Amino acid sequence: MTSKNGLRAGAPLLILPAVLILAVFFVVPLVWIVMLSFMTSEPAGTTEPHATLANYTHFLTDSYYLTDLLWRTVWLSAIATFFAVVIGYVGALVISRAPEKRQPTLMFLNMCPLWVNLVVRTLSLMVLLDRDGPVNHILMALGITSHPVQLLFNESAVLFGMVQMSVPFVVLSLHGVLKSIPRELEHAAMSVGANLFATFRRVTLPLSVPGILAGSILALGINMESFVVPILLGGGRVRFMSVAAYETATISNNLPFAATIGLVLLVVTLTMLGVYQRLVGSMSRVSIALRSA
Amino acid sequence: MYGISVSGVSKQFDGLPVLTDVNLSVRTGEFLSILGPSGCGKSTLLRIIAGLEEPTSGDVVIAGRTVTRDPVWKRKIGFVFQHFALWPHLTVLRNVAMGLELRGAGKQERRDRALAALRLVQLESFADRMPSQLSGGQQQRVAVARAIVLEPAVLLLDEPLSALDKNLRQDMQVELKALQQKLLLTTVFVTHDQEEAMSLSDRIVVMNRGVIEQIGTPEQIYNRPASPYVARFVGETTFFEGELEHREHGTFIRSSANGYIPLEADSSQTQSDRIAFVRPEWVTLHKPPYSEKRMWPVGKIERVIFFGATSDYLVRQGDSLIRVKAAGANDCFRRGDEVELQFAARLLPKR
Repeated sequence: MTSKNGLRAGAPLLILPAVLILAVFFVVPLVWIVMLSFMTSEPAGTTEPHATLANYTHFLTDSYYLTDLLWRTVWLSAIATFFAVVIGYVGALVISRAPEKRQPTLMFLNMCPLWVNLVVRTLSLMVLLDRDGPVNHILMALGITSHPVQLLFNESAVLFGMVQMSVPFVVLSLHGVLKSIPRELEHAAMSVGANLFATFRRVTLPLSVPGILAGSILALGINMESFVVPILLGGGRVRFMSVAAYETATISNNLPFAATIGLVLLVVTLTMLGVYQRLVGSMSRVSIALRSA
Repeated sequence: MYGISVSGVSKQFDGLPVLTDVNLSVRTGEFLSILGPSGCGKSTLLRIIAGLEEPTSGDVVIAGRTVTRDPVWKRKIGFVFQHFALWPHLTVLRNVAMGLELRGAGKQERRDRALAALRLVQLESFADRMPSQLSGGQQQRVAVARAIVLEPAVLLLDEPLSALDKNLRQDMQVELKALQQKLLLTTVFVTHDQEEAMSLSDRIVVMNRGVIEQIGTPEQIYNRPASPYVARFVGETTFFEGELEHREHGTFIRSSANGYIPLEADSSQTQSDRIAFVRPEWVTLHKPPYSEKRMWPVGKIERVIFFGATSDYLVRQGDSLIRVKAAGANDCFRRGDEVELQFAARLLPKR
């Protein structure tokens, strides 16, 4: 009894290492970034320790930063998320309908890309989309185009890359939800005259909305914050918040303004995810009902 | 005219036979139960009739139309699932009205007909609730309303009451039967509960390992089982195995374990090695000496099982423990009493 109580009393201590690591390596740098964003930088690159709103005013009043950078980041991420969810949904549906014993293998295959280094994965996409790459060869062989098409270093390439990055996460979050929908609910729809499409539209799809929302939150978060994909597949021609922050910090040597870009991205992302989370909350009625069914 | 006819249906899963050459006809308006232990193929047979499974071979005809290759949604069936299978994101009314919606019925018609179906199961006032707000019994009644609202040619029920507790189950049995008779629905009811099958059905199909053992009225199944399996599965049974022997007072089945067990009068066959059985209520107990000719077997009460309204005796006779239903309040024996058992066992058909 003593040992049990002792364990219970000591249990909070067990999270101490995690708290410490987060505090030292996450909270402290974040606070430093916040402070940094209120400073200015001399042309030489030294940081002036005076609190000022200049960086934010600069960002929020310049249409280049607002529309060309922030809006493009949000917009591209949203489109990529949409495609990732559609593609991921189909994948998750196929996996959840596969024979029970084959599902772990299929899920493993789905997660496989995540074990590969992000840069390596993106570089392989560059090989694929190169002027002399297999995609161009196939397009020419099919007679769709007579000469190689520029597939890299544009928004489509970045979109393609972001979709490829986020699909496995969408599959992961949808697979569980789709599996938890009893097949009987679909069979019941068929018994009252619903064909496969009507069954999907009226039963499977509405019941998987919580999974769609969870999957898109994940995908949107990943896409908004993605860096390797836009910098490599965009080839410096596609403006993206993370790339801009990186270039501001390294090339322009303006750390305070880079911090500002990063923080704006963080706040916008969190706001969007927060709104989404509210939606999920109101949808949770469905998932609760589903669990009790 | 048959409501459903199943001919030569076999089904294999991964090469293992689940159903073997099943032939079955359900009359229009008939209440037919498929009875058997879990894994006997009864649910698979029902799902083949519904179209939720495809038979490996054989044909299914519903209301005169061959539907073997038709998908579920083209067959005119109503299906009630064991675990209700109500759509949790829709209200009770919309659950019931879904089939009408899919047929393109107008809003007013949908509402009227769905409410009428809910009225039949006494849940009209619950129309706007969510399924999760209903009890198990209410949910299953909604499922029944959903299945009958389209006026299907046949109603198929897959162990619909097994998820409910006992009292509720008995109420639901009465309601279900009343509804079926009111609407004259051709009904196939799958169950593993023999009492349920007995009390509801016009006819019962007893299945064992993918094969139909017997089709008959509850009375036939109980009193004239076609095989030891049926006799054992339905009701309480004591078996006697031995050789037939005709004697002065009648025919007996003789074995070293039980001695001479009297058989009913028309057991005139003379094959050896036969099996006879007796039901608890066929036996009358007497204080010995009852018959001077010592015609009845003698046994000893080993246990008295009291149920309230009735009680059972377990009587040790030879190697057998014979279950006997007490006739009334006046016949009261105690543990250890010697008794004479007056009964006539029934021979089972030779396979």
